Amino acid sequence: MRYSCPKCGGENQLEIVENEYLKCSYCNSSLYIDLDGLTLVYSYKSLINSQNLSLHLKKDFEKTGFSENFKIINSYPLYLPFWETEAKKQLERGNSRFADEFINIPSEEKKTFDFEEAAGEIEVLEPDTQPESGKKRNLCYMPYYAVVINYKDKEYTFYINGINGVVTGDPIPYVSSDETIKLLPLFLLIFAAAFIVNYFFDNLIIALIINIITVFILYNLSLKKINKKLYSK
Amino acid sequence: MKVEVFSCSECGGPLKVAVSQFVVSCNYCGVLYHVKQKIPPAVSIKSSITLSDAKRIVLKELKDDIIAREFLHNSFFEKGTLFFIPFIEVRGIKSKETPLHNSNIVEFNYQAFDYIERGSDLNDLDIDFIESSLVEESLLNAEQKEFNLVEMRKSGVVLSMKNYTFFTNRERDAAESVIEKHYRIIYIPVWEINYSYKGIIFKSYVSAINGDPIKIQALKNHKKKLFYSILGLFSLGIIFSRGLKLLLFSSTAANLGIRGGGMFLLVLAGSGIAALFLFFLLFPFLWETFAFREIVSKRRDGVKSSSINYTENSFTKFGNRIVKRITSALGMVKIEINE
Repeated sequence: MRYSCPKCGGENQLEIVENEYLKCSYCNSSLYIDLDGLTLVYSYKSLINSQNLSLHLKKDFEKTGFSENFKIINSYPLYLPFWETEAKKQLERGNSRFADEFINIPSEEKKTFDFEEAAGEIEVLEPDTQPESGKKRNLCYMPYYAVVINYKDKEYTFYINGINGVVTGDPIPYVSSDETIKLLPLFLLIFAAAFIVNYFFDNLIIALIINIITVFILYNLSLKKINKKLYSK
Repeated sequence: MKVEVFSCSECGGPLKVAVSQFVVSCNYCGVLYHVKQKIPPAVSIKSSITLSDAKRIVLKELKDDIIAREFLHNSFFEKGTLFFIPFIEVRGIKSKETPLHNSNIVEFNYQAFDYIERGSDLNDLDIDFIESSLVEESLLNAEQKEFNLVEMRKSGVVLSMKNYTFFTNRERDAAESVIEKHYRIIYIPVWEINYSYKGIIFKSYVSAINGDPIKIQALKNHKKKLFYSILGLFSLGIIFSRGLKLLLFSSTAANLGIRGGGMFLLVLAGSGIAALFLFFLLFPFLWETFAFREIVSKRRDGVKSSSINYTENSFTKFGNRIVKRITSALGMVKIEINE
């Protein structure tokens, strides 16, 4: 199979940079050999300082009400691939490790991706998805920061967009502590009811009947209350 | 590194191709070639279940007695992804030597064997199991399609082959005296349905071949546990009230001379404090052992459940610490308390 540069049409000027990444020495554009053709490769420049990563994470967590302390174990920059197609106005994910299927196109200008320069310091992920429509497409490399945090002995990985700071990743399983403490009076009530019923009724049979009735009533009452507390919004 | 030499079709010059190389250029005329590496033949099983079908199957499975009904009404669908999971089908012939009775003659038996190995470690998914029976069933019943990576990637995520041991386990083959061995990669399509409940993501897996639920994850119905915890608290109340009454009005109490106004209040306060103390000890236990927020996963081989880690407040922290100290002092469990 013979390849030609999609930008200038040159055939014999293509050089291999690494595995499936090529470079056209005539028009200086970088290319990627996909399963069904050659695509041009672009990239964006990172605008976020790597020291502010925890601030971006905290800002995102506050939306879900999560305000606990967490520990950042590891953070590293990486280039994630995205597909730019004519049919869609958003960028489609190029690697299935990324959770969101689409992201917005940034307003910044894109540059030609220099694989040799980027791969020296930053991890570059290869694309492993295929956009549904449009044979005419470009590969866009977006700067991201992968942040691994430790919360309650479990590790969670988040990806922070290097341009606008949008955080992507599965949320941390979290139940606010208020809900558990709110049920405390309910359990105290049950204890007190048992105490009163059995303190003031000497006749064992009457006490037994009243006990059964109160357990039945309290069970149904607390079921309603717990359903309201745990399952309603 | 193993290098094979081919010749360029344009100028006839030599082309050197390394094992892991995908693109090669001719040193003389500069023509590029895309190298197709030698991999075993692969097939994919046709997926007949669409996303809406898979969602319907998960919804049907969630309408179960072990799953909280409120969960069904308050959880939201997030996304559905089709995964292609690789499996390796191995077929071959091996010889077996058995010495005949009372002689030096050895009998050779030829045996055919076949088994199915997992091709990916499934770390990317929330399932650590898929039985080979699922693959066997699908090979018998479902339609097999030619392996087309472009088409497969358009409809879903193709998991990469991570289990390369099958290419190189020659030592095992020699020990078993394997004569012939053939491999085939089979891609099984599986739907992953994600839905969220109060910020917690639940993942369910449905076979895209016939719609069999592989794993359904949800919150467990808490009614039974609530009933038992109320019964436990109630019996605790009964014990305390009866004990207090016995202490105040029995003859032993009268003999000891603790019947009177001041003493009555003192005993009442003391037993009250004791009851509260015991209750706060019990409270974290209730949430640990009788956790109402419990994730239940219905699997093909049965039901398994695990509790969600809820955030600790000062009360439960205090209680947990005491419980851990007592139980470790009694030798029931050995837990190191990290402060």
